[in-house]
Amino acid sequence: MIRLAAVLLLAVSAFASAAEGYDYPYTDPYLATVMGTPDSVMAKVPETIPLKIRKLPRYEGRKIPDALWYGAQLDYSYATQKGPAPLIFVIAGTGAAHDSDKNQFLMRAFYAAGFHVVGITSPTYPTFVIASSTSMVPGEQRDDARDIYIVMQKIWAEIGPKMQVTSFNLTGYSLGATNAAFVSLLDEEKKAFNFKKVLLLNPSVSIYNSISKLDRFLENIPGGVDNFNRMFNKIVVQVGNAYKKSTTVSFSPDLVFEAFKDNPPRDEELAALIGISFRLSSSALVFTSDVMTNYGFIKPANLILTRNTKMDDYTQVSLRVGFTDYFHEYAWPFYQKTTTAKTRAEFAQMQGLASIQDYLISARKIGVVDNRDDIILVPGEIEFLTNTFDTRAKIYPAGGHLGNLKQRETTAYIVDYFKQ
Amino acid sequence: MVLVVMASAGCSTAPSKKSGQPPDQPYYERSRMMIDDVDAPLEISDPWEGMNRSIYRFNSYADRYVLNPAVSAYQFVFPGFVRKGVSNFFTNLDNIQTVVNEIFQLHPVSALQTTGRFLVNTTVGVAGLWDPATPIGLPQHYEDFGQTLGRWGVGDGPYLVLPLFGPSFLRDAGGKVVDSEIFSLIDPLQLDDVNEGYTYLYYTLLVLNTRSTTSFQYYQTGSPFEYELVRLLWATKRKLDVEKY
Repeated sequence: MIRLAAVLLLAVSAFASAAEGYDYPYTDPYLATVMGTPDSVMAKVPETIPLKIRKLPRYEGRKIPDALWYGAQLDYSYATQKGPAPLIFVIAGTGAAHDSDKNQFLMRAFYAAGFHVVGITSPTYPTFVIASSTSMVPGEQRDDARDIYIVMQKIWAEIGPKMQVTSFNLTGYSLGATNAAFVSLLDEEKKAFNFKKVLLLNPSVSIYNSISKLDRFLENIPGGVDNFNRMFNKIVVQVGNAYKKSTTVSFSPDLVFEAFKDNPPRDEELAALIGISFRLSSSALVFTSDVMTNYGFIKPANLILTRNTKMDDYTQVSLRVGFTDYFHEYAWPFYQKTTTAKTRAEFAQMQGLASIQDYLISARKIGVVDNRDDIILVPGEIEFLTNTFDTRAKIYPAGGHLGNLKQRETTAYIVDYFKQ
Repeated sequence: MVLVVMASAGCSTAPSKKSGQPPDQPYYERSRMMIDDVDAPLEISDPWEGMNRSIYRFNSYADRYVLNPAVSAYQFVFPGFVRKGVSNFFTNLDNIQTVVNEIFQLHPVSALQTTGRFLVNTTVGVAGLWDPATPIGLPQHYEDFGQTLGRWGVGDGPYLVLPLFGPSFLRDAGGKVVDSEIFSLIDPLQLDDVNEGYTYLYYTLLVLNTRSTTSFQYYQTGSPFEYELVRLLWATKRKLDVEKY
């Protein structure tokens, strides 16, 4: 009895001290996702690092449609240390580019800790779809991992001669973390990099579950479905106000969140805000993919757009098409012919970490950082992470989706993970 | 220049059809997705869309081949505090235009604040290179003739992408002309009288400063709807600028 009490006391005190040591103010996961990390508890990283931005050569033989003329080449960014150092690839999240706000933050933190850094654009970013995706239909995890791997190899061929590398490492956030898991699996086979350590930051455990959740945020907009327009207008006003002084230029979810930091909306509207911010990304990727494949999803299949074509209608429609629509009516029909999955459900299951669980359990080099209240996860997925990764999983009690990424302790943990 | 761009780019906003047949029905067709009587966002008057898109594209080339390299050189040659001084200098000069417009808009308090800023920064701040007015609490306003016209009820007018200057509206573009006329009339730097070299220096620094303090880059949003979204954001921003106060 006394032993039980002692164990309980120890457990409680351990939990209490862990909760005390972890300094993050937002307990509402939606608010955490939008507000991010307050300056008072933010990690100190350098304001600038010598980041260079380069373009990869054009994809051989790819015809770039006139309307997408600007996306012919994929950009990447990198910064080198003087002398030998470990290198880390950072894969951006949904709809974000190589130099997104979060990628830049991570690259600065790693650079300050002595790493060479390389920023990789997400395969869901339109330019990746145009210039570097084989299928031009992003979302199939093994295909996307193959494309990312080729991009990494091309980058290495260009910048490798300029630096001395002691080891290759890999990380990514959000969908980029899921990408990283599949890239690591591919690396076991191809062995071009032999990653020393891999860390998944707030990954999507099942892409299908995450996109279902994100689309559901928009089903309950206060006031009903017609209020999509009203909510969208409200966001535009706020973003328009903040756009000129924003540090991010791309229309990723971060841009929307930054605009609302000083004036976050009420609870019911927070979920809708997050949902709409991801819609900006999904509208871009769905339409781009449709134009590249001429599928006839949003743009009539036998119509060629020119660089001057009026796109208003396509913009409106694309904003109303969600990720799950993309999955069911576009990606699945496209992949049905080539995938090994026999049913739609099996195909969905393949786009998740559970389909490579054996690998994740055995690969000691892979770890995960997540928050118990991550909004892109469904019940049971945190438990999946702790079961699969065991001591290599660091789960914080609060932070929403990446809200605590820049928090002092989180950043310190992330960087230290690679230094051991 | 604009005519050359127009002629070479072709300004039709209609897509060209593949085979002379009517377009297929896409899976998600507009008429079944959108309810017509509900106000949709993104509807800004843009009757010159074809030309605007061409100019938007021209601006991106001007950025890539001329302005961005020039700004990189500017940032490489001049250290941060020098560039901050230049930026302060031009912000201070803008106060003249702001005061004139605040008077036109009948905002005496703002006009007084801006006059105060101008005087403090020009004297204590040595010709505006430093900015002692901010720490002592004088707020920085910005007004232009486009906002004045807006305040007096003139609508935006059609969307207009100006060569090099970027997004604007007809009202605001006209407003810029008025503001620059007023500036020439007042001529605070006496550019009419001095050596031409100073005039070139002034305009060069003006361009470099303006471009290096604006973080926007063309075609970096990654969205195929960048043109529409920038147009919407700009319209919103101008509406807010006019409504402020």
